[in-house]
Amino acid sequence: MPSMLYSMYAAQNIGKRADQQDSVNASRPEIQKDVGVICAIADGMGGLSNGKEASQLTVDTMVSTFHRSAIVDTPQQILLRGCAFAQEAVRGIQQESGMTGTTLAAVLIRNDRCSFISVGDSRIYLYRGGGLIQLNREQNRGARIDAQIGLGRLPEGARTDGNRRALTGYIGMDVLEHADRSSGSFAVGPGDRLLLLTDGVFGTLSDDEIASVMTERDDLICDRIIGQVLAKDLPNQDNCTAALIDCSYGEAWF
Amino acid sequence: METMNEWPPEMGCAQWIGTRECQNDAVYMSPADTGRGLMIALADGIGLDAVAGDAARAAVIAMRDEFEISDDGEPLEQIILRMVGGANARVRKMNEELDAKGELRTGATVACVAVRNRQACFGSVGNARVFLLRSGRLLQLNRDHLLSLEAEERDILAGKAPDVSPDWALRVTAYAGMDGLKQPDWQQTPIALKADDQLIVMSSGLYGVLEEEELCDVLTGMPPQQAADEVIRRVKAKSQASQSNISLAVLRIGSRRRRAAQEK
Repeated sequence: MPSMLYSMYAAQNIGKRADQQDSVNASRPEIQKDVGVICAIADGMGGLSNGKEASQLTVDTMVSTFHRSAIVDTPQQILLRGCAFAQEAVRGIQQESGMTGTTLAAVLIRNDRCSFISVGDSRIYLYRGGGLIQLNREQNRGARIDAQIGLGRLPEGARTDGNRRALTGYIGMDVLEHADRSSGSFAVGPGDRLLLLTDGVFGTLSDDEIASVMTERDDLICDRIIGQVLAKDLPNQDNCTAALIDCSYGEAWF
Repeated sequence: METMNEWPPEMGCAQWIGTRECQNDAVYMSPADTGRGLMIALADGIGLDAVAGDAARAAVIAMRDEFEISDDGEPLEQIILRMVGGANARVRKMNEELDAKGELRTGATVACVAVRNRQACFGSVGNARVFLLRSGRLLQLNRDHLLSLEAEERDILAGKAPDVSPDWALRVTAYAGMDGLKQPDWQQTPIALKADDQLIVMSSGLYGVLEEEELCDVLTGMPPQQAADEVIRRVKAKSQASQSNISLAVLRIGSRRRRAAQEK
């Protein structure tokens, strides 16, 4: 059986904001056969100070945790540990730079099986068989309200709460108790694509618009997604980041 | 564009009591799409006594009832949350009656799927699982509410080594009927289904009995009802000394290709 090759790409744009507070990082491609791959994005919280520093620290910590992990560590443990270290690091810079925080979304593939983790409202999708599937759960007030309405604890009227997008989980919060993550791992195969997006993308493009780009050649997808975002020319366009892991059969050239 | 009405889905469902005295799983699938869409509801009563089976059946009936009062305009994700909420409320009511009689409480893990116009949403509490089979590969869609996972998360995020007794690892941390059920797991944005996609809901008795590859082969190789029956047959053939109740429900989206093959 030919072996799997994982190719990683990313594209970003500052949008109409003064600063770029999104960050992205990925593992060294040459270690993928032995160790696997990880790709992480983070969206610094704009209302708080030093969002860029927080997001960069977070993605760098996820990747360095992966690079330093022992082969006996499970992917789930690596992702959780990366989260814990990122939380510690971001809390560390708060003493100097004030309250800061960031979302996180990360995907890890090892032995042709994928695991993921997220905190906040950045998104992770699987593109398979011509369709997009959002894998992770967003941690925001709207999700919490909807769940409580479904459980009969809040009235239907609560759904129109004006603060639905407020995050209920982020790296840098007082106590990070919960991260959304895959229960175990799932097999990936040729043709699968993992897509990580900050809300500057999916807040502007619909899932159908994003899916329409996914049939392009792997090295063009992220640029095309960002291009589509910019083409909308929204007056308050947020920072936007798209990262992709393409799964195919192939031999690495490195 | 293909629609569900033009290429009707196929469905299948099978159960086995295993080596238990009671069948404490319950499952329901819509018999046909009457315009509201289709649903699968599955529940696994917690415990070995007959009351657990009653809880599972009550949960499934509640999910079915909530689905049947939904209308076209209601978003799928809200219908799903009502279904899970309804199951929780129904089993909690059972527990109030059990409390009044001085009897032990009960509960059920639940998982449900709603499909309408080639979109799907799911919801769950506990350790029943929902899968999407597409392109020959299984994807678990929902989260397991297990003590082992929550302890691992709690400990690692707190900077400690994970530590949970193996005796407790598989304990379910969320179920219909529990006091203070915080939040179910559910798909926040509907999944756009493709031709030949399969949605599979199964109870925990099936886990680890068949390898994933074998399960995929069976599900991709035959129609849903035949596949569900074949899965049960293969589990029986394993002759495990201790086998939990098993329930499995499969919904396969139709396609032009399959319809053409059937009409030949």
